[in-house]
Formats: sequence, C-alpha cells, structure tokens
Amino acid sequence: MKITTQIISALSFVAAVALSGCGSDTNDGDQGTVTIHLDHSLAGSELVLETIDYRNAAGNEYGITRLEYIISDVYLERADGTRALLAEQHYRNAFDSETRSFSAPIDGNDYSALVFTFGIDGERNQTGALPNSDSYNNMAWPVPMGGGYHYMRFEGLYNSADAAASFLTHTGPSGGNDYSIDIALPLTLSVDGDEWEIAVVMDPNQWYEVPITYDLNGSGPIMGNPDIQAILQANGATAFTLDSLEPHHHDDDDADHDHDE
Amino acid sequence: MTMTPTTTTTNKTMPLFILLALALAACSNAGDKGLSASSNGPTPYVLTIPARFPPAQIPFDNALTLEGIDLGRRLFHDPIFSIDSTIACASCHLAAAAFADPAPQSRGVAGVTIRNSMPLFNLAWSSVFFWDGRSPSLEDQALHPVEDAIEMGERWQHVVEKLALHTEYPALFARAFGDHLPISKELATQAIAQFERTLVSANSKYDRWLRGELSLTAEEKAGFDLFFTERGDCFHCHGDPLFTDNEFHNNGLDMAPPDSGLAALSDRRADLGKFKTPSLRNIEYTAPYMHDGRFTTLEEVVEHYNAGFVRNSLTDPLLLIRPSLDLSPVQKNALVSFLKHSLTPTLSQHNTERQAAALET
Repeated sequence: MKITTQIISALSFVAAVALSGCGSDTNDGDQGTVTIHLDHSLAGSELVLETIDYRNAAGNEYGITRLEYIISDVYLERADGTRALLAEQHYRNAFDSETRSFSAPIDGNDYSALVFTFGIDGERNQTGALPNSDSYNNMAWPVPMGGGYHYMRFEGLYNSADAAASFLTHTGPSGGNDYSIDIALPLTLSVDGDEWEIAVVMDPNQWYEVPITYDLNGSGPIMGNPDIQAILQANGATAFTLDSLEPHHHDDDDADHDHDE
Repeated sequence: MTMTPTTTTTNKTMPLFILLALALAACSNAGDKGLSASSNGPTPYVLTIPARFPPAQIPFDNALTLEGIDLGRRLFHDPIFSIDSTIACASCHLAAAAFADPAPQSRGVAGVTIRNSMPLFNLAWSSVFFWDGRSPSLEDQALHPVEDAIEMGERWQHVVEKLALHTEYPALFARAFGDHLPISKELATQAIAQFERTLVSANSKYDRWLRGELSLTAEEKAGFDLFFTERGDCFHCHGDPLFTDNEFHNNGLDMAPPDSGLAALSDRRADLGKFKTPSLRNIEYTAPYMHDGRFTTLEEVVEHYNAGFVRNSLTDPLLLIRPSLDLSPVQKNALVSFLKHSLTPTLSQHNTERQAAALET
C-alpha cells in the first residue's frame, strides 16, 4: 500500500554551484554539511498552538494542540539514483524548536532530490527499533495493535455542535499494513566542502484534502481503521514541499547541531 | 552510629519497587570499611537501567555515589528540615505507599496542602517535577518543601546551620562530597536526589510476563488488551515502559479547575487544570488518586475515564475524541485487574528482589 510520490510541483532551486564540476554527476568535491529544517505553515503563516484559527477543505474550523511526527531514511539523491544518508530518523514536534533541525556531513557531489519516508518503512517499523527516548516512546504504536510507532500524532479541537470536539489524526501501521509515505523533493545542489541549509515545510491542511476531502466531524479514533489510514496516506503525499535551499549563514545562531541520532 | 532510617517503621507491606537494599548495603559498606572523609573519595554507583527503559537522566555534576545515596536516604527520613522537627520528606512520601501519601492532601507543619504527594520512583527518567512541573530537576525540587509555609515552614539557612552542628552529618557530607565543601542546601538536595534516583520500579508481573517468566490471568490479559488499544486508550499517556509520558494533561476532572496546574507557570489558559501524568506502576500502593487525591479506588478512576470526565475546551483531545469509552462492567473489572495485579508488585516478588539486590551489592 506504500506509495511513492514525486513532488512535481516543487519549485526548482538552483544552488550556487561549485567553481568546478558544475552540473556534472561526477563532482568529486570536498565533503560538506547539510542541515535540514522542518517547518510548518498553515494559511501562509507559522503554526499557532491551540487557537481555533484554521479551516480545512471540509470547512472544519480547528486548532492544533499537538503535531508530532517521525521522518526516516532521509537521503540526498543523485541523478543516477544513488543516495547519501543524512539521518536514519528524526522526531519532530512542531511546537518544540529544539526538534526543528538536524545536520549531517555529505560527500562533495551533485544532488537532485531530497528523499525521506514520512513515518517508518513497514519492515523497519517494529517496537523498539527507534532510539529509546520519551520522544520516540510516546509515539509507540502499541503491540496489541501491531507494534511499531505512530508516524504522526496530529491532535486538536474543532468547532462543532458539541460542547467540545476533538480530532486525533494519528497515522501509523494500522492493521499491520504500511501506510508510510515516500517523499521526494527535487532540488539542484552541488556540494563542494560547503554548508547548506534545506528548509522543508509541511502544510497540515494537506492531510485533509486532495485527493479526498477529510471531515473531522465524527472522525473518532482512527488508529484501527485502515481505510482512513489509506486516505490520509494519499492526502499526505503533498503535505511536504521544499521551501528554500541556501548556503549556511554562519552568523545565524540556530539549532544546526541537533542531529537526532 | 546508626544507619537506620529515623522514621517509624511500619508493618505494612513494603512493595517490590523499592531498592532500598542498595542504600542499606551502602550503610554496611560504610561500617565495614570504615569509610571516612579522608578515604579515597566517594564510591561511584552505576544505576542499573531496567530492560526497555531509556537512558537515565543523571546530571553530570551530581553523579551517583554510595556515600551520596546513603546520605540522601538519611536526609530523606530526617525531620531536621522542618521548623518544628516533625516533618521529613518521608512523612508525606511513605515507602509503603510507593513513596506517595495515603492522605488525599498531604499534611505539613502548618496544616494541609492542596495536593496529594506524588509517588517517588523511576525519577531518573523524568526532567520535570511536581504535579505542575515547576521544577526542572530533582535537585531543584527538593529545595521547595523546606521553605513552603505549610509543608516544612523552615528556612534553608537555618537547616544548613542545624546540619552543620549535627553530631553525624558533617562527616557524612564530607564522605559524600569531600571535606573541602561546606554543608549547603545544594549539597543536601544533591544527596536527596541521588537517593531518589535509586528508587527504581521495573519488575512488576507485567514486566515478568513480557520476559516470558509467567502468565497473566485471562482477566489481566483482557485488561492489558484494553489498556494498549484504542478501546481503553490508556497507552497514549501511560505507555510502556514508564507508564507515564512525562507530559501534562487536563483529564477532565473539573469544568472550572480550582487548581490551575501547569497554567500557574505558563500563564496560558489552555494549560488550566493540566497536571503531570503519574506513572501507573505500583498503582495500588499509591491511592488515593489524582493530584488532589479525590478518588479512593481504582474502580473510581476507571469510571472517571469511562464516562465521568467533563467536556470542555480544556479537556484533553485524547478524552474528547469519544462521548465515553462505554466499557462494560466486565471490561472495567479487567482494566482494574491489570492495574492492580500486573502493574503492582506483590510481596513475594518484593522479597525476592530485595534479596537479589542485597546480594548484588
């Protein structure tokens, strides 16, 4: 059930290339460093915690109380399909800036895409497979439900006729199936001993539209519902886009070194 | 000198989770080997990390030592911290109650507090303390009760003076931290924190079942299945292995929370009535339940989550997702059985573990 999605609508980013080997697949430049930032944007703005200020395609007015997810097998891919590993996994809490970024050394070469798995690949998604920390353990998909880890815990409140209504968009290996998503974001990057920053942005509303409009009303608990997991898998294929690719600014005092194992 | 805790002993069952044998052995070592301030310095102690537990969070500037743990145990049980020498840490954190308090709200030197004392175990796997999370470390946490007007009503400066004039403590502090540092509130709380980090609970029937050493009853297994699926949905906040997410939730106790909880620190309306998730290990020993001890029994707790919580915008989305759990009496009994019998160690297990720990040390 796993799908691979090419984000063909992604903008083409042309990096400032190295002096030699421009556009070549045989760049043998010096090792550089790449920092990945995971950002979020809804209605053109950064996320605000808890305020019911958002509206999805189904017309639900909602606020976010939790947005946590795992990406794994993060690579830069060359035109010939070979890959350079950036991180085996990374936990992101949208409201914890310490989890925004991770860095990795990268061979001097030309790269044509950033690729990663949203969630954890099915075979690898076993209880205990990820680093033993509260962050990952609180994402556990319980053993009686098949084991492994949630891909995402996206929670909040929405306006309804009830006094209070909540949604729990929890994605994961429902029914023993793999609903992780292979994301590929095209880019043009030539590394030659330099440092680069790549900002990826997730639009939470994308989970609720295209190809299937998802209505929070009556959604209820969904971890045990493979049909809904398949819908979210399909919708989530467009949740991530490339926002920027630029040389690292050494003046920035950011969290570049939060590489998460 | 005596190395026996100064609290009154009780014949109530001492639960399994307490690895006091460690501290007791440290006392024996001290006596046998004649450790003193001039010996080779404190003896490093390596905390055993239970299976499935994350790495322990131990500050670099307060590594565990046998002498520090022993001192911390002494201090924990000593009412010297209170203004009238009546209240020790152990007065509200009873070993027989998993270091919680059987009283709904704990009593101090000047009356009753507003909250139930939290149980103390597996504290090396947390980085926020108190029901409202106002302390970022155990060392900081231990500073607070002394100068709380209701709890101990004392001033740290006076406590330090009393410790310095004590017949035994100067030597014990020197043994634990070296004789170049004067007794201070920082060293006292470091020692208490060391002792508290040795209180490890990880060998319940549930743990042994996971290791294949025994079987759960059919009822306990049914409770386990409810606990760890969306049907009972306990796991999101009380997952394995700590049975706490170390986070804060409003679990729908009050329509208008009389105790602000986390909001007192964050000053955010959305945090009103949020309290730290307690671990469910040793749960039968830690009654009464909730931050204010309002529920006497586990049956009441399960019924609260089944259909008793209030619904408003402060209640956690994990509860609001359904009108009620709609559990049958059989299912509720199964959940209680899992909590009581699988997550709460038994006397025989406790004795076995204490003996094993004594042999190891």
